[in-house]
Parts: sequence; C-alpha cells; structure tokens
Amino acid sequence: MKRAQALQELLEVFGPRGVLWEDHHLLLYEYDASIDKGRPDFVVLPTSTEEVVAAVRIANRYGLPVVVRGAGTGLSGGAVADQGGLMIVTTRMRRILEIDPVNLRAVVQPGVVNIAVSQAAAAHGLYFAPDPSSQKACTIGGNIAENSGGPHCLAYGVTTNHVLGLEVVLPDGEVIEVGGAACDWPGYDLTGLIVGSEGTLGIVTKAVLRLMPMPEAVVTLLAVFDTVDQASEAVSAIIADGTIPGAIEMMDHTAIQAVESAKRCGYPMDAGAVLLIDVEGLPEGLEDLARHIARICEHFDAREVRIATDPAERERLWSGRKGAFGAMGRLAPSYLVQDGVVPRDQLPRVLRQIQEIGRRYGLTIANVFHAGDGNLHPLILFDERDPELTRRAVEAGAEIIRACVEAGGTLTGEHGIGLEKRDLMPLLFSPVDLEVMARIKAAFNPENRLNPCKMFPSTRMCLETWSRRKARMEKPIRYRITPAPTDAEEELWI
Amino acid sequence: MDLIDRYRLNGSVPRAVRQPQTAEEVAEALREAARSGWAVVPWGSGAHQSIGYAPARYDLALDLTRLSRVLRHRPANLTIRVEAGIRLADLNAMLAEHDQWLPLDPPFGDQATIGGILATGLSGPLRARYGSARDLLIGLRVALADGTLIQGGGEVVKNVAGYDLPKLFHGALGTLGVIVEASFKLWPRPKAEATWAFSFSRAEDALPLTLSMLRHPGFPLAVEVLNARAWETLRGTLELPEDPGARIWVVVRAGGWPAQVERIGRDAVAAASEARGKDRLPEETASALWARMASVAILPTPAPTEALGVRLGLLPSQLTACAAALESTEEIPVIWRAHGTLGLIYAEGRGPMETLLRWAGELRSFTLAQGGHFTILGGLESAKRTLGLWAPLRPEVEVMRRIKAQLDPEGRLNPGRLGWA
Ligand SMILES: Cc1cc2nc3c(=O)[nH]c(=O)nc-3n(C[C@H](O)[C@H](O)[C@H](O)COP(=O)(O)OP(=O)(O)OC[C@H]3O[C@@H](n4cnc5c(N)ncnc54)[C@H](O)[C@@H]3O)c2cc1C
Repeated sequence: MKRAQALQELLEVFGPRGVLWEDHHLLLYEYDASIDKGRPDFVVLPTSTEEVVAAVRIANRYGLPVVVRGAGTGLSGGAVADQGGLMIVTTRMRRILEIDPVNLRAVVQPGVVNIAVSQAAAAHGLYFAPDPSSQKACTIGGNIAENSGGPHCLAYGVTTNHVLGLEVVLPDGEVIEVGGAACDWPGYDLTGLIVGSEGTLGIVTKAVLRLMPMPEAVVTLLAVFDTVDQASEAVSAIIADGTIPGAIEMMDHTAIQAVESAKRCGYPMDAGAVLLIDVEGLPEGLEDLARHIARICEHFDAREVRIATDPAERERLWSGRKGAFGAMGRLAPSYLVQDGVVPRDQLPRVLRQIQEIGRRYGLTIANVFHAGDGNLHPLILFDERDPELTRRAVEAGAEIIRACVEAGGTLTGEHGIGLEKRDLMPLLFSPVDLEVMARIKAAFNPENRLNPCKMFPSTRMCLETWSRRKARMEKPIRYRITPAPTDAEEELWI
Repeated sequence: MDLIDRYRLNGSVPRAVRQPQTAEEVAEALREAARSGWAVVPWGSGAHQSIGYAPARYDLALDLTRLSRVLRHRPANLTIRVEAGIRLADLNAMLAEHDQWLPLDPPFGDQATIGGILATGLSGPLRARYGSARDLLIGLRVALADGTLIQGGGEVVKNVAGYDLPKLFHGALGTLGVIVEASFKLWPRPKAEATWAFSFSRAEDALPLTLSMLRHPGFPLAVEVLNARAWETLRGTLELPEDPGARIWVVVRAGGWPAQVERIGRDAVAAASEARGKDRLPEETASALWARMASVAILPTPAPTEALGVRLGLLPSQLTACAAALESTEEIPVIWRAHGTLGLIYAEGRGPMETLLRWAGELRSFTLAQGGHFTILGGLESAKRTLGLWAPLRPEVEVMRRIKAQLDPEGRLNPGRLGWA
C-alpha cells in the first residue's frame, strides 16, 4: 500500500523513464564491484539537484533509507542498498558545467565519468590528476565519496587534494554549498570532511575540481625482478633517495601470469615481480632522472630495466597494469581485493606475510598495487559459488588487513570501508574515535537516513531499525556474506 | 613579567596557565577545566593568537610548547609524527640532515608551532608547489574538550578509513579540540633552487607571468606578487633590486633538478615580456628574502591600534581587478602580497580606524561581488566586530555549528573565536 504510494510520488517527479521498481530492473542495481548484495526498493535517475532534493524528500516521507550510486564500481559495498530503500543513481547528471582553462578549474555534475573531465580539459593542455584504474567507468561523485586514488596519486595526491568545493544535498533535503573555486574558504573545512565520507554525510550534486597542466614528457620504466622482495626493496630505496616519480606500481608473478595471458604487454612470464615507474614533467633532465632510478633498481638486482619514451610503447606497458583486475578472470571466477596501506619501508615484510597467509588458507593471492604509496592490493582468488572458499577468502582478507595495521598501516587506502570492512574498524579506531565520527555524522545525517549502517561497525540497532522500517514496505531482500553483527558492540553509531 | 602576562589576549589574562609535557597531561588539564566549567585557549608560540575574535571567555591558557618531541621519523617512508608544540623551524633543521623537509612557510614561521600552524590553517609561498598543511597532514591526535584523546588518520600517505578528521581540525582555530600530535608526509628537498624578481608598471602586465606559472608543468615552488610598498619594506633590510617606477613585483622561486630550475627561469623571463626589470637574485639574498616573505602584509600579535589586516580569497585571474581595489584610497598606505598562482591575497592598511573600516568594507564588497571570500586577519577587536570576521556567511555555517555542538557541547574551547563557535 505504502509502496504503491511512494512509487506514485516518484513517478510524478521522475516520469516512467526516471524510476525503476520492477524486480528485473532492480536486479541490476543490487551490487557494486564488491561481494555484498542488496536490492533497493526503487531506483531513481535524477538529472538535476532539484530532482535529487525531491527524491530525498519523498524517501523521508516514507521512511526509506537513501543510497547514492554512481557507476557502481566501488569495491567496498558503499553503493549497495543492503537495507533496501531508495537508490539515487547519478549517471544522468553527467554534464560538465564549466572548464576554466585560465584558473585551472572544472565544475561538473557528480555523474560525470572521471576520464571525461580529463578529455574535456585536454584541449587546454590540462587534466584531472586522480586516475583510478576504473577511470573509464567510475564517476566523480564516487571518486569524491571514496576519496579515490590512482597510480599517479603518488606525485599529485588523491581526490581530496583536487576538490575545491561542492554542492551538497543534506539528508533533510537542504542544499548547501561548501568551499568553492577560491582556496581556503573560512570556517570548518566541510569539503575536506565530505570527501571520503562514502555517501554518509550528504549527496554531492556538483563539484569544483582543480585541474593540472599535463606533463610535457613522460618516461616509463619497466624494471624486472626475480623476487618481490627485491622489487619492494627497490621501491623503498627510490622513495628514500628523494626522487618522487609520478607513479610506482608493482605486479607480482601471479599477476603477471594473468595479465600476460589476457593480453601481451611484454612482461617476462618468469619474472618474480615487475615495477612500472613513470617519471614525468619537464623534458629537461628527465632521461637522466630515469637512468638514475634505473640504477637504483639495478642495485637491488633488477635483471632488466626497460626505458620507454615512445607513447605507444608506454601505453602497452601500462595496459597490463590497467587491465590487471579484469585479467584475474583468467585465473579464477572471483576475486576479493584488499586495500591496506603500510609505511613504504614495511613493504617487503608485509608482502611476505601476505604470501604466507595465502598458503595457510590454501588460496592464491596476486598482488597488483600502488607500491610508491605503500598501498597494497592483494587479489584473493576464489569462487563465489563455493561458500567454503568464500568464507576462507573473507577471513584471509581480514588477516591481511590485520597484518597491515600491525605494520603501522591502515585498513584502506582508497577503496573505502563501506559494508565490507566496517567490522574491522575497531582494529584501527578505539570506541571513542568511532564515537567522534558518529557525532560528526549526526551533525549532517542525524536520523541516519543516508547510506545507513555503512562505514561504522555493524550494530544490531542499526540493522534492526532499518529492517523494521523496511518491513513496513515489504519483505527485505538481503543476502550478505559478512558475519552477523555481534551483540557486544556499542549501539551508538547507527 | 608574570608568567600569566605572557598569555594576555585582547587585554585579558587567564585565571590559570598549564604547561603540560605529555598528551596525557593535556587531557588531564582539560578534564580539570571541564570540572570547573573553564574556557580553554590552547597556546603554541602565540604568534597568531590575534586571528579570529578574541575568546568570549578565557579561564585557562593551555601552553603546548613543552610537547615538542619528534615521535617517529621514518626517513625511508618520508613521514614524520611529532608533538604539536614543536616549532616548525626546529623540525626543519632536524630534517635538513636527511635532505628532507616539511615544506611549510606560514607567516612568522620562525616562531610558529606545528599545532598553531594547523589550527590557523595559514600558509605561505611554498604552497604553490606543495599545497598547504592540509595537504601534507596525514594524521592527528586530538584532546577533546572533555579530555578524551582521539586519533584520526595515521602514519601512511594514503588512508580513507573513517572520516578525514585531520581536515576537520585543520583551520578550526582550536574550537573543536586541542591538537597534541600530528603526522605529515615529507618531501625531499629540491636539488637546486633559484629565484627571479620582476618589476612591472601595472598589475595587468604581471598577469601573463603569474598565470603562466600557474600552468607550468615544472611547478614553481612559489610565485609571490607584491605591491611596490611591500617591496620597499623588504628592501629596507635586504639588498634587493630597486625600481622606483615599479608598481608591482613578482618573485618566482624555482626548485628541482638544475636543468628544470633553469627551464622554469627561462619560461618566467619569457612570460614577463612587459617587465621593467628582470633579476636573478643571488642565492643568499634569495634565501633571506624567502625567510621574510611569508610575514609581509601580515600584522603581528598583538596588532597595532591603527592597523587592519585582511585576507581575500579570489581566483588567480582576478588579481588585476583586486590590485586596483586594494589601492583605491589614497588616504591609506596599503601593503599587500598575493600567492599569485592561488588567488589568496593578504593586505595590511594603516591609518585612522574610520578610514580603515571604510577601506576594508569596500574590499569586502568587491570580493563578494567577485564570488570570493573575505576575512579580517588582524586588527582591533572593535574593527572585527564592526565588519564581521568573515564573509560570506552561507547556510553551511549551520552545519559547522552542529559539529561544534557535537564535539564541544559546553562551548569551552576558544569560545566565540569564529563568532558562532
Ligand atoms: C577494476 C577496478 C579498478 C579500480 N581501481 C581503482 C583505483 O585505482 N583507485 C581507486 O581509488 N579506486 C579504484 N576502484 C574503485 C572504484 O572505482 C572507486 O571507488 C570509484 O571512485 C567509485 O566510483 P563509482 O562512480 O563507481 O561509485 P559507486 O560504486 O557507485 O559508489 C561508491 C560510493 O560513493 C557514493 N556516492 C556515489 N556518488 C555519490 C554522490 N554524488 N554523492 C555522495 N555519495 C556518492 C556511494 O553511495 C558509495 O558509497 C576500482 C574499481 C574497479 C572495479
């Protein structure tokens, strides 16, 4: 009854082409690129801020939780409607509103795909620096929510360093502006707080981005090593030497196997590890710098270092890295990717631990990651259809994260907490740390309507509150593989 | 002088001073203050205590300068974790031994403590290349008003676990918590450096240079723009080029590998086609100049009575229009300086208060009309009250107020500093 009414109201605002409510449509929106699933009750596809506000108001009237979704490439379940409710999909808000080539700014709607910003800026010799490997699909709204990174964030910083201002719809439907095209707006840095808040504080409907000048020259090095140990020692040495390249990415033997069998990019099949290094900027002195880095690699027993300046050759070397996640399909039907970060001088030790964990759980783990930042991406290979394997993969993942935290690192460098890692938050944060975050959330999202139960350790209260509300609409459709919440937890951060 | 007099603020002294030596002692002092309902003002060097309104209540000065230890420097990870009371200058002296630095150069950076730099969010010329403290900060430990110690971020260069608390405390003027520890990513020191100074007859002639440096793929370390009066204050003590006909000076600092430095210099010279003078500064002059630069057009604390300091946030291309607005009245000798590639402008006017208020009021209208923001950085309390500390006040302030209420519900940390918090 209520469901029919809510649908009626949504249809009035969005028309039949702007709302999805039938199961066979909703099915397409029940997952992201992580392993959790949950079906929303309705999906709407707004084209403007006003429509987002209208959707939020309707959701509030019917007690529906709101989940925002960009392209659904998220790797932590952030865009999964595990409590059902109204999903706001931003893919029709994909206008680039302004490119200011003089002041190096772009103003975009949240559904604009990451690479489209760089494409629009390219005519002016500019680009948007954060370059997640998913950049051909993921949206700026998703990048902002996750504070996404990418290979070249080593030199230029992650999304938060490139976002100057936002227009945000708060969970009560109010629209606020934070930051702006100028630097350093007075007052608290709400822009900095909203970036990385995983869609729990507000809905981003517009963003002012900082553009950067394209490098005049880029040299790519492929350094081939017999062991992961040697490669990671080389990474720490390059950082310690005081030359910060544009990017340093690593792939281990397993990853190389997958990548090379998917497409030939010229990585030696028998290598233990390869490093892909970009040095870029002015052409002056660049090749000297590349040779300097090559020598550091050789000092750590690189058996071969290739230096590529030709764009086609560079593209080929990088294509393997960019397609690496996809290539895992060659090795196993599913993968679970972790995203822990460790201090760069801890890389050799933690990578050894990861291999040991893989052996112990009887799982193959491939490593393809942002080595220069110490941001690991162990890809745990398994088969989602096999519950026992799935359980082992999830447990191995948690153990890897624990190893990262013990090495002085963190749970996630760019993929976010979402559903997937929320119960691991206490590894890093004390109850009072979490309480402060819950208080901040309460300042924006006091009734927890927006992306409920994400990012904070799951509590019965959160899950039950929403299940009750949901039950009023319809039976919940939810299937999750994360462990059920324990009842010992505090009940604060709903 | 009484100890307590060192903590005088807008004419009032606190009832008590605490100089804790550890984070736990800070927490204890805050718990004690909470029991007595005391208002607390955290102190670093005191160099920027005049920023913001004077606190509405002031019972306890919490001096953090004894928290001055380096907790963990990981040279091979290019990160450091320090206590908040450490002075930036001491920290960088230590890091120089490793050819690394924390590339921050805020006003009065020779005195400023890390905690104070973070709380005020002030930046200096190097920001053009390295970003501000906001961009370098990777973790914080904070004592909340009730003495609870919390942490956000960590000691790794990428981290998205939980909300980005370091961003929230940066620039919050000590109204949300007392920063007791901070972690940063560091940078290697540039292998080579050089500085060029250019003089221009008109601001519009300088714009091609500043805008070309903004989009220069060699990323100059700093691009500062000064009016002639600002340049003359520097020339009083430094051996700088002279050009009586110049109205505007632009100083470009390039860093990197020697070949890159030369290239940036060549491009700067080429872009400064309208320049009257183009000088490459001797190394010693340059380093003395950069040591002074960040404090030009920033009033000291306590501010002199017949002076007002403001900051405008605009776009880099709006500099020409802004230069005209800044010097629109003959009555006030204005000293101003801008981060040329960032659009942040600092100006200091001296004269009778009434005239100063008129000048600042016009600047504020100008800035708002251009879509920018306006802040009074230094001056008499009465001037701040008359003009309002900052503008525009947008609906987001309501959210800021709610955050303040969540973290400091009794409003005891630097009460009233921001007007609404
Ligand atoms: C093959 C592959 C490679 C990847 N490589 C990288 C990488 O290199 N670096 C990296 O950082 N990530 C990477 N990712 C992860 C993912 O692409 C990023 O997290 C991306 O930013 C998500 O964008 P999206 O549009 O798909 O967001 P979604 O998955 O749709 O949503 C992600 C989160 O953002 C929120 N959200 C979306 N839009 C808004 C909005 N407008 N306002 C508020 N909240 C919003 C959602 O609620 C959700 O919590 C990769 C993913 C895949 C599948």
